[in-house]
This record gives sequence, structure tokens and C-alpha cells, in this order.
Amino acid sequence: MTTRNNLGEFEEIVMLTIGVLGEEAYGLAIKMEIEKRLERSVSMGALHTGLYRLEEKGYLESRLGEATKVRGGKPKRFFRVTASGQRVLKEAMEDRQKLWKDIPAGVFQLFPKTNG
Amino acid sequence: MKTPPKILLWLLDRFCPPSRQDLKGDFLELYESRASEWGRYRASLRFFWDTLTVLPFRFLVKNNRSSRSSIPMFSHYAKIAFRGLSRSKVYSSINILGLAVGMGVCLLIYQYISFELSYDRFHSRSNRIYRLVETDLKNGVELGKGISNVHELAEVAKKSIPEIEEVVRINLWRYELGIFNPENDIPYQEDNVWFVDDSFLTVFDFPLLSGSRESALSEKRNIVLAEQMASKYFGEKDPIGKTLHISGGWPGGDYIVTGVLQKLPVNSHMQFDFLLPMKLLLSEEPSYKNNDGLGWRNFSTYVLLPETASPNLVDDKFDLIADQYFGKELAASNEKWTFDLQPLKEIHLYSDNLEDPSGNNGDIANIKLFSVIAVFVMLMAWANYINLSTARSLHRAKEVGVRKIIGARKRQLIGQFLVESFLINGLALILAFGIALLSLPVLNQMVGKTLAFTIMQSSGFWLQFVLVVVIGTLLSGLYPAFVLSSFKPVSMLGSSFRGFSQGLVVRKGIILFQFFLSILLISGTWLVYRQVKYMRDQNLGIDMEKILVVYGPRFQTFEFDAMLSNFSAFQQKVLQHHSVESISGTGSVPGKGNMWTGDVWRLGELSDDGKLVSIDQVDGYFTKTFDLDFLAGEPFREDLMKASYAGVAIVNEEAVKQLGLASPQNALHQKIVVSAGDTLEVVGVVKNFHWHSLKEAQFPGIYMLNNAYGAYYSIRVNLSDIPQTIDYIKTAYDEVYPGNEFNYFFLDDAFNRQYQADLQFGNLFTAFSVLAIFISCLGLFALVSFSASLKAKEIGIRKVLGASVGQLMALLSKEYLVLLLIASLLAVPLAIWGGQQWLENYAFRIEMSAEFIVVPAFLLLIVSVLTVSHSTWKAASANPVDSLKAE
Repeated sequence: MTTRNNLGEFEEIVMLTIGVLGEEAYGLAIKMEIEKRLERSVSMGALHTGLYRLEEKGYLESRLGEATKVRGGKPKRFFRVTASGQRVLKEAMEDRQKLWKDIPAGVFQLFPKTNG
Repeated sequence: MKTPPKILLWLLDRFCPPSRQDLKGDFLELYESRASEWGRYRASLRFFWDTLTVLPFRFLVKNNRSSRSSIPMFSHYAKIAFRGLSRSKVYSSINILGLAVGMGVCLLIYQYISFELSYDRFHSRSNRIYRLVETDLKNGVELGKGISNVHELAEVAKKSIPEIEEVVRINLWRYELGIFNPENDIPYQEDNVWFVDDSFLTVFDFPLLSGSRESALSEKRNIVLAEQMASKYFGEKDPIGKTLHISGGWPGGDYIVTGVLQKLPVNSHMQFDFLLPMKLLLSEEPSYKNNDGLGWRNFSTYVLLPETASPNLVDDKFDLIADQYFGKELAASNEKWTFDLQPLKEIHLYSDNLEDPSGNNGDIANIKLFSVIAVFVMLMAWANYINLSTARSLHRAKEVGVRKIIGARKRQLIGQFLVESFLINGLALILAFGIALLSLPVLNQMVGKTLAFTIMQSSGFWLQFVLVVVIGTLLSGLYPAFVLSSFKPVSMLGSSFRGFSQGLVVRKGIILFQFFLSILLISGTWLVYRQVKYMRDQNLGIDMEKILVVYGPRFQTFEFDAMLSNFSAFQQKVLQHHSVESISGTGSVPGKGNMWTGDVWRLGELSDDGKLVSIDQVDGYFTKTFDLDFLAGEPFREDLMKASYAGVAIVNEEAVKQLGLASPQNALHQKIVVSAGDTLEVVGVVKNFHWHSLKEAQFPGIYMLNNAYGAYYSIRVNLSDIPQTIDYIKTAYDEVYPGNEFNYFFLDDAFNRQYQADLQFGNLFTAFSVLAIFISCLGLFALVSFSASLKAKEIGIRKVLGASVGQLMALLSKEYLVLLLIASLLAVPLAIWGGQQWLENYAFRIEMSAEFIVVPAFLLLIVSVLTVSHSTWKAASANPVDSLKAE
């Protein structure tokens, strides 16, 4: 059995959001995007801690953008999901899908089974 | 562009990892958009809140090399310091051990002093309670200063001085009473029974285990016990409401136990076993009942003042009322009383010059002396540290040179050596606590107290101690740090570096200083021991070791005829034993104080000219039992030895002198009047002998005949088979005085117990001196072995040229011996001055002489020669080839 990398729910959301933002995924943009789409508030500290951890695990990589006059002359740090990051995201998604598929008909009454 | 307030930016800089400037950018961008949406105020609030959430991130992100944080530098310094310490184990352990011992001694002294200073502070009103100190003047001359007052004084003071909230009187006579619990009839003799006013328990707050503070002493027949007495008489049972019986004499009868006090705190100047109500004493005791004038100054008076009252004003009022109420009576004998109020907190340490019968007081002079010793010891330890670290500079020279060439600033080098200094001091401090904890029991034994390490619980101690250690570390670390960091790098890297000679004067100065202190300490120790030995060996005029003293009975009919016949029966039985030579009943015995002191004058002269003398009642066998030498006259005549009142006395030489009589012969058959009213005929004059400790000068003594007093029975025995003799005496005692506890002591033991405090002082002094010498020897040892290793080449060459081992050893130790000589000379004046000051306390004393410098110097010489001999011998006997071939 291969070891699986467990991804926290918040981490998963952060990585997916980075995917959504594509080339424009830097700290503040990620925070705003999550807040907008998921209607939950994200603290600066939590976000950057999460980004830092994911980068340490190798699921994200970052590069610094050009320093500009705005933002007090500070550069933006742009994030990208690495190949291994994409792999764990995919695994996480497949795990869930398998589970969804195997729920017998009628157990979850809110969602009738779609395929089958 | 909108930017947040500066203070928030500053805060963000503290919280944001330096390597993550992008995060700061995010913050600024967010602030700008929020500010235009919500306004600056709300945006700033959110900015502040967001900043706080970043704190965990700050610790998560590892500092990279570009960071300016100094933590890695410190860890580097610490690493280098540890390597240095473990490389030269001998120096390091000497350095740390020396500091640790010094600090440990300081901790112990600190504990001791803070214990002595803590006396009586546990009373919640301790800053408002004062003790009355009375100065007696006669014809304007001070007779004495003490704490004994007449009992009427407190009564009139409370009435006429409005500031006084409460007064408490304590009778200073420690009554000896026979007490038993009627339930089990086991009699005990108690000698620490106090009569106190009923306000005693409300003014002082000795913790009460049971009973009521307000009413425990309100009835005449109440008694309050200390905890240990409650268990002695009642075991586990609750004594409240139970009965205790006091037998014999005026206080005889049943008493109801109305209170039990928790074991009295050790740091209380009052130590008693039983409390009885003052009103009982004043209304029943014959002398007070008859109220015969101002003769009985047996009471000490404590007053409770409000916070706002000025004690100086109040003691002036005491002077006034003394004049108003007692002035007339006092004027008759040309006397006058003046008063001072002594704060309760000062009683323990500032009562040295007072006549105070409680006598368990400390002395502020000792406290000062020990503080000085603590400071000396600490200074010596730090001096050692400076000395050793500077001496080691040679070893560090290359390291410092390389660092400088790489670009280390002087400031950084000083920082490095200070870190080392803190490390060594820190290690020493930890060790010091261990040393202090382990040696506390030893200290306790020496001072005869039970100290615990209570200082650690007080925050004040930590503040002071940590402050002292930090400052000391800085000061002792700075000198070596400056010396090491100021060398020129080129000269340090060359092989001919002579940096060692730079600090030579300082190092020699330090050694000189240590020798100087050591000599003073040894000299003090030697002096204390010689004085105590002198006092113990002095011919006292009595063969004390041959005299066994038995406490007289407390349970018997106190009626003259019965007492006399009982005593005769006991005497007859005891004398039948072959070891017993003589037996005498007296009111007191040498070493236990006098029965009373009072004025005496010759019949027909004015009582104004009275001289203060001590008066004791003795029976007819007194002079024989104590084997006193007669200068004139003879022992009491046989025919007087049955009389209930004889009116005769024997006096000592000093009394003859004080009374102004020309010679002992002249004194015979003179009539003298003692202030209580008796007229006595002098029938004999004995040579002076020591009734008191040798601290006190000879005092005029009157020994008046009373055939049946017998508070103590002194028995002269020959020293063969003591246990059997004591058994025999006990049997006789139990037969004649059934129901009395048989207690005895040897007179010399009791007498020498008076020097207990001096001995304890000597022991403490010795211990601290030994430690101080130890510390300086550690330093000396390290330094000599170090200089020997520096001179290895010189020694090698000398040896090749034919020098002997002895010559080489002399060469190496010569300079230290010169220092020792200088130190001894410097110590002479201070030692002589200090010694004479101390000896002033003793009426009979040794003389300061050269001995007290020569002996310490000689002792120190031996110790230091032994200390250095190992290193010098090793250096001198080494094979010269080894040192010469090395480069």
C-alpha cells in the first residue's frame, strides 16, 4: 500500500483556488477569491501559513513578481500547483467520487442517484 | 495612495517574516482597497487584526541567511564557549567551582540575614507596636538602660496618653512552677511561664489553634498553652475547658485551659510555654498585692500606636507622666526615668545595649559583619574569574586574531566574551543553589536554628540576586573581554605573542587582594577561638566540673520549718554516699544569673550613696560546697544554720571595694542595708570568683543567709562513678520530695553554655573563612600552573644549565610569596583595629598581639605553598627536552 498524502480541507480549497486563478494567483487574490466564491472569511495569517506549508510539502511553487510602485513597492508572490500537488488533488477527488458512487440509492434523500 | 498609520506598519514589520516581503505587499494592497471602501479607521482596525493573525507564521518561516537576527550568532558564541570549556577542563572546573562556592556562600548568608531580619514581622501590626525602653538616671548619671518598668506605668500611660491604642505588660520573671494534669497526675516543672495582660493575644497575633483571642486571658484562673505543652499534658485530646493544676505557693490551684497557641514562630523574640493572666499576678502575688512602692521593676511594656502617631512624641509623654506620677517618690533617691520607644521589628537586632532578660537576641553588628563577608567572598570569586580568564588570553590570542582578520568588530568580540562569561556564571549559579541547599543543615547546626530556604519564595530576593549576578557577570566579564579584544591581530598571530604580560599588574593585584582578605578572615577566626578558649580555661574560683546541681522541689509545703526539715533529711541521705562531699541549697547558681540586683549602703550612711550589687540567698553550706577562699572572717556559724532569719551575709572582694571599705578585715561586722529594707551584718569576705560569664566584669556580690531557700541544690561530688552517684541522689530525692521531677545538670556545662553564642559566631566565621581561602587557593592553583606552562622554555634552559628542581620551584613560587608578605603587612592595622573593637565586648579578654597576624600568615603560607607545589614540581621536574624541542 502506498502512503497517501492527506490533504486538509482548507489546503485543498487553497490549491483548487490557485488553479482557478491561473496566472494571477498571488496571496491577496487567493484570499479574495476564496472569500468571494465560498462566502467564508480567510485570515491573512491562516492563508500564508497554509501556502507556506504547501510549498514546503512540494505541492506548490512560487515566484516573485516584479516590484511595482503600488503595494508600497513590494513584489507579489505568484503560486502554481506543482505536478505532485495536482496528483494529490486528483487522488482526493477520486477518493470522494468512489465514495459517492457507492452510496446505495435512497440513503441520501436530498440527492437522488444520478447515474444508474 | 493610502497607507496605514506608521505604528501599524512598524508592528507588521515585527510580525512579518523578513524574507516574506510579498506578504507586506498583500497587506498594503488590501489596506488600500479597504480604506477606499470602508474608510481609514475601519481599515486600520482590520489591518491590526490581520497583523495579529500572522504571528504564528512568523515562527513558522525559517530565517534565511540574509536575516539580521542575532540569535545564530549567539548560538555560535555559546558553541565556541562550550568547546573552550571542555577543552581545558581543569581551568573551567576551577573557574566554575570557585564562582559556585562563592555564590553558594552568598546565598546562605543571604538566607541567614533575611531570617534574622524577619524577626517579629509576622505580627500584622508589627510596624505599630513599640517596646518601652527605660533609662534610669541617678544624680544625673545613667545607671542602666533596660526594658524593665513598674507595672503601674502602663496603667497611667493608657489613661493619660491619648495616642496609645493598647498596652500590653509582660512580667519578665520567668516563673518556675510545678504543673500537672489532674487526670493523670504526672508532674512537670515548668520554667517558662509568662504573666501577660489580656490584650496580649489581640495586640500580637500569635496563631491561636483554639480558644478566643479576646477572652482567653480574661479570668484570673485561665491558662493558655503553647502547642507543644498541650500535647505534653493532654496528648491528642482537645485541652480546651480542661483543668491544669499548679501546685504550691501563691499561684497554687486549678486553672481552666482557655486557649492553645500554634507552635511559636522561630522568628519571634518572645518564646514562652504558658500564659497566665496579669490580673492574677497583681492581685495574688504577695509583693504586688502589698504594693510596696516602686521596688519591683519586673515588667516590660509594649504599646500599640495608630499609624499616624509619632513614637518620639509619645515617648516624651512617657517622660512627663513618669515625672507626674512617680516623680516625687523617685526624687527621694535622686532618681529619674526617661523613656524611648523601640519598634517591635528592631527588638531582635538592636537590643544589644539593653538589659533584657529574654536574651535570645541577635546583634546587628554580626549581621553587618556577615554581609561584609558575603560581599568579600563574592568579590574574591569574581576576582578569580577575571584572573583566570585574563591569564587564558594567550590561548585565545590566535582565535581572536583570526576573527579580527575575517572582519570581527571589537564590539562583536566583547559580545562573544560576555556570552562566555554569562554561560560560566550561569552554570556556577545552578551549582551554587545545589551547594547552598546541601549545606543548609550544616549552617543550621552551627547557628543552632532551623532555617529553611524561604528566600526562594520571595520575589524581592530573585530581583536582587539576579540583578547582582547580572551586574557581577558584566563587570567581571568586561575586563577580560576588553583585554582580549584590544590586541593587535598581527602580533597575535605571530608566535612571539607577549599579551600575557599585559594584565600582570592587575592579576598580581587581585592575588594580593585575595591574600589580604584571607589573612583578615583567618585572623578573625583565630581571635574568636582564642578568646572563647581563654574564657573557658580561666580559673573561675570554683571547681565547676565537680558540682552537680539538682533543681529544688516545686511541690512541697512552702513553710520554713517543713522546708528546712525536708532539706535536712535530703542532705543527710545524700551525704551518706561516699562520693558526695557537700551539699548546699541556694537561690541561684553561677551562670544562671542573680536572684536580684539592688542598692546597698552602709548603715548610717545616706541611701543616695547606695551601690548597685547583686544579692543571692544561700544556706550555711554554700562556701564549703563551692570551696570559696576567705580573705577575712569565716563561714556562717553553726548556730545560725537553723534560724529562720539570721541577718548575716558574706560578701565578695568587689563589694568591699565598692562600699568603700579599706580592707576585707575592715569589712567584718559592718552593717549594710539592702534596698529591700534588710540590715545585714558582714561575717565574711570571700575572694572574687566568677558568678557571671567572663564577658562581664566582676560585680559586687552579697550572699545572705537563708537556710531554706533551695531553688537549686548544688552537690559537690568526686568524679568516680558518676552515673551510680546520680542514681543514688535521685532515689534520695524521690523519697524526700515525692511527686517532683528530678532534673540535674553539671555546673560547668551550664556555665559554659553562656559562651554558646560566641562559639556559634566562631564556627560561622571559620566556615566562611575556609571557603574564602578555598576560593583564593583555587585561583592561585590555576594561575601558578598556568604561568608554569608559560615559562616551560625558561625552565628547560635553566635545567639544562644545571638548576636543581628545588631552585626551579623556588623561582616559580617566589613572586607569590612576596605578594603574601605584602598582604600580611597591609592586613596588620585593620586586623588589630577590628580585633580590638571585638574584644571590647569582653571584660576578661586576651590581648591583641603579633600572633594574630603571624599565625594566619604562616597558615596561609603553608596552604599556598601546598597549593602551588603540585604545579611547580611538575614544571620543574619535567624533562627539558620536551619543552625545548617544541615550537
